[in-house]
Amino acid sequence: MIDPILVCPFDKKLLDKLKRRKVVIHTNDLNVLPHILKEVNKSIDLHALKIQTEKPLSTIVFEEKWATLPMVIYSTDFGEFKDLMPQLGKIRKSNVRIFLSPHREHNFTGLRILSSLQISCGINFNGDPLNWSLMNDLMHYAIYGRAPHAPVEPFDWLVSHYHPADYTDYDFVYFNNPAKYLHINEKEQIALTETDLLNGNLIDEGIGSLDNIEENRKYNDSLNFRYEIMLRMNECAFCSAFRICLAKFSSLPNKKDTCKVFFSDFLDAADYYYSIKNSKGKHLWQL
Amino acid sequence: MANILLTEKCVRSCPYCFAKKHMEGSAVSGLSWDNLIYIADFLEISGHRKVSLLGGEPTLHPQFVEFTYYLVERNFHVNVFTSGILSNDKLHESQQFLSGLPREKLSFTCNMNHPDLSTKDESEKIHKFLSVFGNLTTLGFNIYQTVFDFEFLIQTVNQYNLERHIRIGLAHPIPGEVNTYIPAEKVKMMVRKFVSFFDLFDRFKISPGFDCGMPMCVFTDEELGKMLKLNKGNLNFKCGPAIDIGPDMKVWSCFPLSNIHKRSLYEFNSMQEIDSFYRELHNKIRSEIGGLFEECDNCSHRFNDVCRGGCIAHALNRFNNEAPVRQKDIYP
Repeated sequence: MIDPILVCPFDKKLLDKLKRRKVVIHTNDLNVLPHILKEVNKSIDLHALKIQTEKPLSTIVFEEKWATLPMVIYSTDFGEFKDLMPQLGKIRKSNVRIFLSPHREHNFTGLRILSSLQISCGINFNGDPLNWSLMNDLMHYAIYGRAPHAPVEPFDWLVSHYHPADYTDYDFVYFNNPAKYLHINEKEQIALTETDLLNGNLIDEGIGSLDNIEENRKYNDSLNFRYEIMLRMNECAFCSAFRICLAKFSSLPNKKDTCKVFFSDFLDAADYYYSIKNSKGKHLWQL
Repeated sequence: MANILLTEKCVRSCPYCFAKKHMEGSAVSGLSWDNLIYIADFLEISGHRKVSLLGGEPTLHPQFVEFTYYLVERNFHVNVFTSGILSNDKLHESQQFLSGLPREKLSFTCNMNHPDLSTKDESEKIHKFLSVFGNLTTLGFNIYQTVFDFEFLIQTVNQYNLERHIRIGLAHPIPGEVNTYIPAEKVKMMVRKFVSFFDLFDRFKISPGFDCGMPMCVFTDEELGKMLKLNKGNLNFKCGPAIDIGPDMKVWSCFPLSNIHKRSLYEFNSMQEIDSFYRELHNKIRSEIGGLFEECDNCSHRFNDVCRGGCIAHALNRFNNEAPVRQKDIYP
């Protein structure tokens, strides 16, 4: 039986019904954290707490008592390092990953600052048009950087889960992969991704339907979505990096200067990392 | 220890400034965050845990406080070379974020000029700086003429309860440029003056430590013995690559040699590679001219690596007025 982790809002009624399931709670409101903390100690099997905020990261006041919460913070802006300085100790003690938007250039520098200070972080790489050159620089730093640094997602996740003979979907990092995560709202509507849920693109309704999710046609189709892309025979189907991008940028008009360059380099990095990880070193002849 | 130049702007215009040549040729305003992270990574993988922040005046960099704090957070020991002339805002900001750091993580070398060379406003700023950061500060002084005084430095050490050490630098020539420095023929005269302060240093328990480029033979054995005691066994008559890294990621051996074989940091994989590169350059120059004096060519102390024969810039300066007949690598 498939037992997906459910991504849901902080709604007590809904959470009461999800008691025996692992959940990712998402919220836009930092003020509800004390309530979530209380519930976590009582009844919720919390996989992660996803906080989305428009506030710059540097203005978030981290509290010692959050240290036990497995958190992921999505912020639009790194903010000022000076404001972050007094908080670095608390952030490092927290069980947190920090994701920043790719739409502000200085966020890329901010991520390198965080990573080099041993704070796990990532870029919110979710389908929008991007500055591919900055993405490539960040990917190179994350994978090839020789100085010790904290993981930068989705690069670290992808290279550590990559297999050259398989497809690897980095959307796991954003809780957007139906093989592990499903999204549910207060109305118990179920969708494959956060965007699908917001757009009303549902696969089922009612918590009870989760028990037989493996029989759901839409769910099964989503797991094999890549076959459909390949059958479309478009540029993505012939791209060598398809194995790791899974046509997430198929709507981009000029792929050879954008996603193709980046994902080809990313694939090289994944292959490199895989070869290092699996190299068994020099074999001495055996007696 | 690598020296990182945060900015090439300065608040002073010292007559002996040996960074002048480098500053004039620079178009870059200040080090960027991305370059700082690259340099910190580079030093870390090279096994270097100490770093000096220089300028110009490093505190003029808009992110001076953030950069310093960042390096400290990355477990580097940071030493800041400053004039101590900070705006009130910068001093306040520095006090807020840096004054609580322990000396094992952050220190300052405050380079003092004789009060006659500073305006009243500058002197007041320096004293404010020392009031805040005295516990983290060592004084520095550059000798650039044969007449000089240490009394104002000793008084400052006492007044602010500073570390009982003064870092003494010698003003060096900038090959091909005009600056004020002690020429080879006046080094002995300068040393006589310096030796005359030994009793004062001893009475106030202050150690006068040399930076680089001082020859050993200008001191008598008795004077060397006294200096060894004053400096608790540490004496330095060396001259070698210091390794300066500019805001534009250029590297060079040291300021006096900043117009010779300036390279990009990206050409090297580690500090060891950079050090070897410039050490070889030093050796080539030394093979042409041993040191400050003719006797340096055959000096056993030089061969035993006890003394390097003074600053290499003096040697290079002597090549300026001759035909370029030496090894081509030693020319700019």
